[in-house]
Amino acid sequence: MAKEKSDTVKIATLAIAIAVVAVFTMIIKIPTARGYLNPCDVAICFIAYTLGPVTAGLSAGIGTALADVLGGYPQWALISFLVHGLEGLVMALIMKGDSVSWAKKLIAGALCMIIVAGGYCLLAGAFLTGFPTAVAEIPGNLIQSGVGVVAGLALSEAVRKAYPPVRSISW
Amino acid sequence: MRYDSFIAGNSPYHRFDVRAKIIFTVLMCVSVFFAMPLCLQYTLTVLALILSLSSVGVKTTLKTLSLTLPVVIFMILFMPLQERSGLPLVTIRGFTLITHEGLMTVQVLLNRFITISVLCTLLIQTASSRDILLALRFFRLPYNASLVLSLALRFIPSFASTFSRIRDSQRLRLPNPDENEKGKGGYISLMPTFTSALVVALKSIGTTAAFLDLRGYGRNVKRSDFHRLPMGLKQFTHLAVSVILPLIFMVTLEVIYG
Repeated sequence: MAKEKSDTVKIATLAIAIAVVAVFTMIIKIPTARGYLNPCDVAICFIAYTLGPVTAGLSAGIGTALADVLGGYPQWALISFLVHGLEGLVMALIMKGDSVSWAKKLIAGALCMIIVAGGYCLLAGAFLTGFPTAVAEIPGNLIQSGVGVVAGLALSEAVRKAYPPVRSISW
Repeated sequence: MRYDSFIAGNSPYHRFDVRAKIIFTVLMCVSVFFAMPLCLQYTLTVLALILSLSSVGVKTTLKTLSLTLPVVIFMILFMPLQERSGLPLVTIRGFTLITHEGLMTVQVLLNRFITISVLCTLLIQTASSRDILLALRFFRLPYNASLVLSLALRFIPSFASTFSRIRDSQRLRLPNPDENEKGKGGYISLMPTFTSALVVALKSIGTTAAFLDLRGYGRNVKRSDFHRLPMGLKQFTHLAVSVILPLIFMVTLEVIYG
């Protein structure tokens, strides 16, 4: 019975994390060459820091892909799934544990920026737009992920203070 | 804001089985990467546009194209960087701006991008997210994964509405809400909204889990399951057409130009 209950909590957590990432991606959009910049990295960073690697990897990938599909940019869905999924997973694995040092947060943030900017450049360059256009998108992606990491970490601390039971949700 | 791109209609593509549409879209997106002459690339793009026009109309097709426009403009602007070697076409004071190879490469990339964008968008415009989910279930997507997607799709509009309401209330807390117009202040002005919205979302995890327990999740005999898409002669024909046509096209390309 305990296992069943635990499974329902996992499913509910994952579904809600996906919805959170999708809404953060869709609700504020700044148009760019690739499509748009958005605060999805804020939500991904928060989930990676708070809810653990499995939730972070899956919700980041599926949430951003769903936002692309629902928002009218389905051609980017697969790339978003791979890039943001990897971003969420890597960040969460680095920041795993109760007390995370600033050095770890810094490494996680830097890796997040490299994964997002590099991932979009490589995949979009190879399969969709060609490398010159993909390279032109690097600064925008770096800014989006950089701002997202800083805001996401600040947000995580704020949510932990506002809602302490969040620490027990991670899996 | 809309959270589903589906446009109701009665066109032949609307009536085409959703599983067949998914297979057709994936195979056609793969086929655009096969080696083929430029005129065939253009033909594919035109056919994709005709399919879109006949299914969702001029206005929606133009909207789809307008969403790809920024990328298209960038691809054209960056054309001089595409291929530096080859036959020069435009030269300014000894500097080669556009080569024949660069122009060809950009045309291939543009056609590929537009075809993929139009076909993918058409899929989600002519099939509801519910039908796509049922089709994925037909393609053996595990029950738990389908359940997660289904819950997420239902939670997105509700969470977006909560987010907007929280943002409006937070704006009212400012001395003069009009001083903080959209876009001003960036993420910092949105931090209280983000925090409150996330706390609301996290609090709903327990309720959602309880509902899943009540619905019989985890029991051997489930109280609810996903509806199954029908599989008759009509659907089988649609599936066969969606597989055979793109496969013939790809094999022909491989034999002639591979």
